[in-house]
Amino acid sequence: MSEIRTIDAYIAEVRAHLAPLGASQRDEVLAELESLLRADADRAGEAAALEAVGDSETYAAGVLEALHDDADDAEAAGQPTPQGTVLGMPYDFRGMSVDRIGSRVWNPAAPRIFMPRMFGLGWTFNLGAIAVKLGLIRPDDVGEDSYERIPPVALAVAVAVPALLAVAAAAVLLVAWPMLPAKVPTHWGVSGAPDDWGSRDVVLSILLAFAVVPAALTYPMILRRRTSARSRLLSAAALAMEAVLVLGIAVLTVLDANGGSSGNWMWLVVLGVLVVPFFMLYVPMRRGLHVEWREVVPSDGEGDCHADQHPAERSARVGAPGDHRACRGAAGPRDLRPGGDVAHPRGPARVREALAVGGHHPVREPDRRDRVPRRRAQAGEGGRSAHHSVFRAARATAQACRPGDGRALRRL
Amino acid sequence: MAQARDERATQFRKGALELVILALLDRGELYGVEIVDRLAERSGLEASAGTVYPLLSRLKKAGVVDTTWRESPVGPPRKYYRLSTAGHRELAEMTRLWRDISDAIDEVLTGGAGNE
Repeated sequence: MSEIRTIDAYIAEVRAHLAPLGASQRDEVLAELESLLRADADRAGEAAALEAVGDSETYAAGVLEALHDDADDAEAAGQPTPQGTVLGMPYDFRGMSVDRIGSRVWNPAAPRIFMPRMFGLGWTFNLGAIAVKLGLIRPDDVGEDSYERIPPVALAVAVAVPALLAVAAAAVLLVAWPMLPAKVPTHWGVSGAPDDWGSRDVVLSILLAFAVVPAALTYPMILRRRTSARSRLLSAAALAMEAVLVLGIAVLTVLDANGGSSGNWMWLVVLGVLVVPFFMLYVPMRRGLHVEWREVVPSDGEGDCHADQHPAERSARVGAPGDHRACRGAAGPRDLRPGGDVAHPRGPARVREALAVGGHHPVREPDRRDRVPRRRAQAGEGGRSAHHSVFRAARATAQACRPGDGRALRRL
Repeated sequence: MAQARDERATQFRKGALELVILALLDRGELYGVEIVDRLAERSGLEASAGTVYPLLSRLKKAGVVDTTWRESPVGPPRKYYRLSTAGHRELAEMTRLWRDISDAIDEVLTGGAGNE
């Protein structure tokens, strides 16, 4: 492909390499390239102009890189990047994507609670940040691969929630339809009483469409075999956010249709929009984490105190890298675990094994204090009594740390 | 004025943060809060958890760091980070790059060689 003598041939080649681009964008790029080349050719001759731009493949690769959508990359890295802002309010009308749900609705690593909405104008809640603020998880507990560890049953339950909500909303609307008057409420005031009314058939049709259509569009993707656990869970949660709202409005419309006011229940609907997706995300994640934690490598109890409370221990750690080597499993001089070499094979492989069997485990309540004693019991039976003393030491350290700000520590 | 300075310092730090975190992890594995604490110990390198955690998950996704869960006596197991093989390469590469750039900038700032 080196001996191209004409500008037309060169452009044809670049065009072929730019196949991934949209037609209009590609034409624009090629028109610009052509005008540049022609201008150059007038000055220095065609051969020199072609020489200067280099080979067509490299040129096309450069173009593709320059036009690459950085926003999508940022979104995938957990950095919400709205399409634009109006009067300081973010907006997005590009349609949903799993990365956008992951960076906005469930992003524990980011401390912001208010995130740009996935679709439309304004903000949404970062349920991941709320879980961190509540001390339920640490910002980095849930990683990309944690989703794959969620037990299938927990995932299936979460995925079923928006379908149940949609069916419930459709049922409420269809059953009530013949019994309702010609005008039904469409808007509620601050007091909770309806203050605007619309045609029954129009209002109920719209609500029915909002209940059914998003679910009907999303479920084929969620249920596809090759869809990842992450996509399933995040999509289901986003779907549930909308479904709770539609169900709530459908119920209020029906209840208040005869002129009365059932009371100010809109707050309950708004609360449901937050709480239902929160549990749909948090509970499966928690179960997935338990699968990971079941095979945790025991720590040697060091470095578990907060830095400020044990400066001496801390500096000892900084100064003794051998210590960390010990943690990695290579037998270091200060490795307190004779079973250290056993520890690693017990790790991820066992977790995967457990999952392959069907991921069915007794899931414990997230009681944080039961872990150390439980481990102790296990260590004792295997004749690895060294574990015993290690855990006793660990516990002593833990207790020494605790009185000050035990609660705060547990959140770290 | 002071605010503009802070803003600039933040921008500088953000670029260097990845290198600093890789260097910290080169000395041994650390968990998230420890990394934030280590950075806070060095004035000029402080970074909020909101900056560090997204960066860590990006590094993990890029395969530059590996993670392991380890038991913690004060709560649920903690996720520890360490350099992967690719991470060691990345660190060496970035260190070289950093030295080249900082040497070149120093030279320009002190008005040394390169003046014509």
